[in-house]
Amino acid sequence: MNQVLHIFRKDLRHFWKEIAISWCVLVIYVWQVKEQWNPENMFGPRYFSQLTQQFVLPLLILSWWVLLIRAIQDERLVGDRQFWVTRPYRWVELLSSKVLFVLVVIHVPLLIAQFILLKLAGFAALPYLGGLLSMHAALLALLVLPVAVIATVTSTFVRVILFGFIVVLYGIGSSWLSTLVPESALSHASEIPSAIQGIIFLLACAAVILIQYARRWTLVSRGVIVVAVVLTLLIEVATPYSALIARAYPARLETPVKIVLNPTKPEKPVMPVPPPPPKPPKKVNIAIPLLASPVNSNEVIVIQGARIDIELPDGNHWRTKWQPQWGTAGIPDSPASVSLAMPTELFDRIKSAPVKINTEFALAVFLRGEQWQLIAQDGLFPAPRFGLCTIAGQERNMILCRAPLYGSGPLVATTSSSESTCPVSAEHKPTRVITSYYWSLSDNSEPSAFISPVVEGMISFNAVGLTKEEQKDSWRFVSRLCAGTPIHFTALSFVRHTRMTTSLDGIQLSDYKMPDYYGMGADAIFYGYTIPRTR
Amino acid sequence: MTSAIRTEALGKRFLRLVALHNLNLDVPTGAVYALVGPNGAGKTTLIKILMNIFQASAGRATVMGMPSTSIAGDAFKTIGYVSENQELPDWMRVDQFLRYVAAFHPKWDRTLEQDLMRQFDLPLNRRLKNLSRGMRMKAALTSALAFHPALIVLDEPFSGLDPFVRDQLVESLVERAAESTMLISSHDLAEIENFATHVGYLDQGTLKFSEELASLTQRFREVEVVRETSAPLPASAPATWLQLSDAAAVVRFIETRFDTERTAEQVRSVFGNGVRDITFTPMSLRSIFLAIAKSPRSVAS
Repeated sequence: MNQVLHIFRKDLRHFWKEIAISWCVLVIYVWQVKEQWNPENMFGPRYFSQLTQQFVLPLLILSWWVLLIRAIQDERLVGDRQFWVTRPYRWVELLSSKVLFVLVVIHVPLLIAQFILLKLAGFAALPYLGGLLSMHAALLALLVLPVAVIATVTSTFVRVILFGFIVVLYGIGSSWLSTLVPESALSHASEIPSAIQGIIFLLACAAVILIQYARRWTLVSRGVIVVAVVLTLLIEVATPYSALIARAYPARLETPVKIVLNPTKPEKPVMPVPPPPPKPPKKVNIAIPLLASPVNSNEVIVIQGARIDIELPDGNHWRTKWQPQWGTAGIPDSPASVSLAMPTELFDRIKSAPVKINTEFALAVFLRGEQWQLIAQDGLFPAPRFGLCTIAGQERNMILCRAPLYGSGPLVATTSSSESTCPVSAEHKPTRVITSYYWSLSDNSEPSAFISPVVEGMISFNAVGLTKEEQKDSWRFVSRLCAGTPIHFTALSFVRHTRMTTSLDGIQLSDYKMPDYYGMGADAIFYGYTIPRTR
Repeated sequence: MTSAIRTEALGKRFLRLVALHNLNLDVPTGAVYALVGPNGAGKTTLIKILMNIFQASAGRATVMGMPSTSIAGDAFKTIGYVSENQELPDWMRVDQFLRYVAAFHPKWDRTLEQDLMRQFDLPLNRRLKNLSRGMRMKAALTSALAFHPALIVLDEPFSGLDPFVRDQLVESLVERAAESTMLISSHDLAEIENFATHVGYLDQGTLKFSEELASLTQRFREVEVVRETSAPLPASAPATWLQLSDAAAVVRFIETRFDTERTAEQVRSVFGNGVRDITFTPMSLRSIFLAIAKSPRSVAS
């Protein structure tokens, strides 16, 4: 223990300037987060948050990395001329001193900063200590451990940067590889391979650090890193996702949702469309709008993925792999569509002929549960599951909330123009009752926060069922939230994942072709954008 | 006498390069062992294997009775190691450095530290990075001597130092010689000669010989033979003669197994009755190693 403290004190003395800088950046970060909560800074002319958010958090993380790398490389583990190697350093104590350094210099100040932020946000910190510690564990695994591994297998800061470039290249390669395996984006089905990859990553990190501190076998350690990288990439490409998806989304006799083609054809683009690219793209993006309604009105269904089989006019079939889709059933006017990217040559061949499309959907089923009502107030007001909220936005159609650590969890919120307490001028008075919706389907079992413990949420209400005229004008004047306006919440609880197949007959694909935007195309599909277009 | 360091068939390869080959070395406890040899002979590699900085490719080594592969951590409480190109914590001042190192050694002798600092005239307030090469070596040596190590291992400690600093370092080592075993690799044969008890000659990864210094200097002589008349050199000479040459009637060579009577008799048997005078001159360590380095013959004891 004496040796641990002795080395630790030496590191503190050596790196006091870097530590001071890191702590100053942390103080600025706390101040910036606090300032960001002020809606004026978010929507006002100062654009304060955009500016500071861009720089302060990356700077804080960078300062941690610099401290970590310098502390580890103060007793370099690579090379044969280090003074400390031939002194009575015990490796366990040396490693412990570095762990102590990371805890005292990075984690403890951050924990204090998080306590202060929670306090400033109006929450007690102690009840969330467990959540904060799990945030720190995530921080350790994602931000500290990989950089520590790099620092243990390199001799200088410059080499760390070079190694960092290799890591970036690996990231790019891995992302590219994942585009070849679209099934991997179905997060529920990829839980097992992701968990295995995570275990390999953590084991490799731990192994490298232990090998380096106990033996300084740099070649072996670098070999471990290469093996871990190859294994994770292999898992990425070789996982039998179809089987995993079939297991994760079991088919049932009763289908939870009725899916039909939306008879309303896509409209002419509202915004000017860029000219088509000089070279025709290899793939054509197609988005077919759907109408999805749950069989049980108490349920909300989320379309998470789809596998499409098109029966071609010549009797052959063209099939896609499983790929993520976005759509919701059970919330009025929420968009649902099935998107795909088809080879241009095939599209040109069949675009005018009606085809039959069989689509297998991977679904998540939620059940409506507890209901409650919240009355909006001026200034900060408490909102269950959202923390402390305030009305925001030029049209006063949203509330900004901050909560300790966790997001709201899955729920639906509605507000009605008939219940709005906002003053309305005679010319903008809605001619009928218009309901606005907000919904969230994200899980909140893990802290949503990463570094700041205060989760910021925006409940932005979208008016649904508007006519074109209403969209042009009066939609902006409904659902305004003022003091006294009630907001109705319904909690959703996850029930099951399931799979079902739907056939759409007589589809003429040319009706649903999306514009060939530069750099978009497949991205538009993946992110579920529905771009209005003309027939 | 027990061995402080012992290697058996030790070998080290760096890919295709053979740095050490079948090396059997024995450093007796209490010896001051000088490891000499030309650049690239493998001296530093051997020392780094002994200090567990490198791993041997073949054979084994023991240091203070322990396998060299387990030399780490607490083992260095009794081993003082200094290398010419060792990296020191340059940001520290000399006093900070010594205080920092002292905490690792339960047997750190504050009085000895003060003595060494006085002897070396070390500037306590200067950062290590601002010290000259000689001063850095003095600081490193102080940190390696002040805990009375049982084994002192020095890799080229005198390299690039001026004669005055060398004398200071040698003086301090001589003072420690009574309580420690020393292994010193060096090119500075003149300095080592003054206090080494044993010497080993390493060349191209092979230990050419290893013996007590007294025996080495005893068995090497420069021999000058004055003959009656000039005559061609004999076609064959004893294998123990190196660098046989002649100038007019004078023949010179180096005898590697010197014994006054036996060598004189050998000379007479080679050159016959025409020998007018034989002179035997003791050789310095430097001359011995130059002779060995230039000779293709084996001179193993």
